[in-house]
Amino acid sequence: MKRQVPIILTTVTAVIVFFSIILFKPDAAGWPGKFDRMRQFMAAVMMFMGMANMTRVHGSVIRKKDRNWMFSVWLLVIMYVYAIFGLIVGNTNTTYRWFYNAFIPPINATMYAMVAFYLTSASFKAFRARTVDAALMMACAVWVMISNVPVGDMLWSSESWLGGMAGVRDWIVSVPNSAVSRGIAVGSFLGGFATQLRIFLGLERRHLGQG
Amino acid sequence: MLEKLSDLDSRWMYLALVIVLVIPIIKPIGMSISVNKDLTQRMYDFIEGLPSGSLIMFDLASSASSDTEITPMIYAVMEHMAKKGHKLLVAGQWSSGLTFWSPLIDERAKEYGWVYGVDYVNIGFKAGGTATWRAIGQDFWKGAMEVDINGTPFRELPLMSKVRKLDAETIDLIVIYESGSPGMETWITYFPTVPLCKGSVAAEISSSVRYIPTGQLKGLIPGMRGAAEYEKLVDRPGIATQLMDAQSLSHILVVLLIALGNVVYFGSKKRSAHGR
Amino acid sequence: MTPEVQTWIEVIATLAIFSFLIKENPFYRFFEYTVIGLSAAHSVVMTWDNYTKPFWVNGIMKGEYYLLVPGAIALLYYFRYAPPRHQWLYRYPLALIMGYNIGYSLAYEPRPFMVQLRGTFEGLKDLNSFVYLLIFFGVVVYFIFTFGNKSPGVNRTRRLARYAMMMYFGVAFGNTVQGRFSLLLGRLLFLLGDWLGLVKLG
Repeated sequence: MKRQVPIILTTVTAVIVFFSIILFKPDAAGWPGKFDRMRQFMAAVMMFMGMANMTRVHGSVIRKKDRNWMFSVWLLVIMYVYAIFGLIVGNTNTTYRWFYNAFIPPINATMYAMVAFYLTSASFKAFRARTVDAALMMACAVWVMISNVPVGDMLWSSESWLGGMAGVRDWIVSVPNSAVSRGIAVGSFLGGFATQLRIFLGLERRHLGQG
Repeated sequence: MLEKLSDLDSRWMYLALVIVLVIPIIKPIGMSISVNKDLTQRMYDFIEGLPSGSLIMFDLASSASSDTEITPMIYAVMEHMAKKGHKLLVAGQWSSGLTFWSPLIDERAKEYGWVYGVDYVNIGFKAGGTATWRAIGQDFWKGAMEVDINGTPFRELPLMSKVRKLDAETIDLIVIYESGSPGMETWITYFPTVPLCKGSVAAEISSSVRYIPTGQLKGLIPGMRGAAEYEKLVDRPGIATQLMDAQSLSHILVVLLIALGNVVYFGSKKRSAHGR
Repeated sequence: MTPEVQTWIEVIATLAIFSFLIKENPFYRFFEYTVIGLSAAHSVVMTWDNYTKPFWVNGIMKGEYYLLVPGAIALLYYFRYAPPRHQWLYRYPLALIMGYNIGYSLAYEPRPFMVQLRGTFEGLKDLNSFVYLLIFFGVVVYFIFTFGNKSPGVNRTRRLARYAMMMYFGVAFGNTVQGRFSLLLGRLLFLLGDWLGLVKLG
C-alpha cells in the first residue's frame, strides 16, 4: 500500500499515457488532452509546495536556533506577508510591483554578476597550461574571449583571410564545439532514457523516497 | 617578485576589473563589430523573410538577473518587428522574467504605437510546465485559461481571435529568450514544426549551436555581443553596443591575467627545479 | 513609495550583495534572505493570478468536474511535510506525475535526438562534416567506454574526444566570461547611470 501501489501506479499511468499519445490524435477533447488538463490542475493545486518547503527548512533552523536563525525568521515573515498581500491585491498592483522591482531583479542580478569577479581571479590562479589538454582549453577560451569583443575584429578583421578572428571562432564553435555538445547530449539522453525505462518497468524506486 | 605575484590578493584583481569596466562606460571608444553569419544573421534573415503581419511569440524563459544580456535582444527584435509590421504574443515559461520584462515591452510597444489586444498581447505566466504548453498547443484559449496577464478575457482581445492553437499555421515564429531550464527543449520536443529562434545568454551558446545545422533552431542571438550585432542589423544602437567597449577591455584584462598566472607558475616551477 | 526611494533600496541592496566580495557579513545575509522569501512569495502570487484562479473560474466552474479527482490526489502531495507515519501518502500524486512524465518522455523525447543523429550523418560532403562526425563518434565512445575496454583503438579515440571536449570547455569558459561580465556591466551601469547620473543609458 505504501510502496507497491505507487510503483504499480507509476507504470500503469505511464503505459496509459504513452498509448493514448500513440493511438489518439492530439486533440484537447481527446484523451491526451484530458491527461494534460489533469496534470495541469495537479500543478495548480500544488502551487504552495515551494512555500511549504521553505517553512519546513527554515522552521527547523529556527527551532534548533542554528546559525543565522534570525534571518530565517525574517525570511518567513517577509515571505508570508508578501504572499498574502499579493494574493489579496494581485500581481499587477502598483505597490506590489514596487517591492518586486526594488528587491528581486537587482539582488538576483548582482548575485549572478559576482561570478565575474571569481572568474577574473580564477583566470589568474587556476588557468595553467600544465598539460596538452589544459593548454588546448586555455587557447580556445582566450580565442573566444578576444574574438567575442570588438578588439578581436581590430586585431584580425573579419573581412580578411579565414574570416579573421571571428571566422576561426565560428569554426571552433560550429564544428568541434557543436560536435562535442551533440555527443554529450546523445550520451545523457541515452542515460536518461534508460532511467525512465527502469522506472517504467518498476526497477527504479528511488524517486519514491525511503521507507 | 614572482612569489609576491603568486600571493596576489584577489581583491586587487576585483578592483582592476571594476576600473576597466567603468572607464569605457563613462567614456566609450566606439569600436565597430562584425555580424556572426552563422547565428545572428540567420535569425535576422528569418524574421526579415516573414511576410508583414506575421505573428511572433516571445517566450521569456529567463529571470531578471539576465537583464543586461536579454533586454537589448528583446528591444532589437522588437525594433525589427516594428519595421516589418509583425504582431507579437508574449508568454513566459518563467514567472520572474515575465514580471520584469512585461512593463519594458509595454513601454517599447507604446513607442511603436502598437495597440494592446490588436498588435500585441501578453498572456502572462502559465504554470504546469510542458503539460500546459501541450494543452495550449491543442486549444490555446482553454490551455492558457482564457485570460491574459491582466486577467482580461481573450474574447475581448481581437488578436486572440486568430490564435486558437499553437502550431505552425497560427504562430509563424517562436523567439525564446532563455537562460536555463525549462527552455527551448519544450518547443523542440513538443512543437517541432513551429520555427524557433533563440536569444541566448552567453553561457548557453556552446550547448545551443548544435540545433542550428539540423534546422531545429532557425537562428540565435549569442549573448550581449549578439545583441549588439542585432542592434547593428536593425540600425538602432542601444545598450549592448554601448557596452561592447567595456567588454573589450575586461576580456583583455582576463587574457592578461591568464598569461601572467602562467608566467608566475612556470617561473616559480623553473626556479624550484634550479634550487634542487 | 517614490521611484527615488526604490532606486536607493536597489543601490543599498546591490552594494550589500557586492560586500560579500570583501567578506561574509550580516548586511549581505539580510538581503540574500529577503530575496529568497520574496521570490518564493512572488512565484505563488503569479501562479495564483495567471493560472490557478482562472483555471478554477474557466475550468471547474464551467463543468470540468472530473478535474476534482486529480486535484484531490494532488493535495496528498502536501503530506510530504506531515509527520513521518503519514508521509507515504505523498507518493500517490508523485507516482501519477512520474508516470505521466515518463509516458510523454518515452513518446516524444527520442524524436529531437533522432533529428540530431540524422543531422550528423546527413550531408557528409566536405572536410568539416567528416571532422564533425569523427568528434561526435569519439565523444559517444568516450562515454560508453568509461570503464572496461582499454584497447589501443578505444584509447586513441578517447584521447581525441578528450581534446575536443577541452576545446568545448574552453569555448564555454570564454562565453561564460562574456555573459557574467555583461551582468556585472548591468549593475555598474545602474550605479553609474540610474543612481549617480554619470552616464546616459541606451
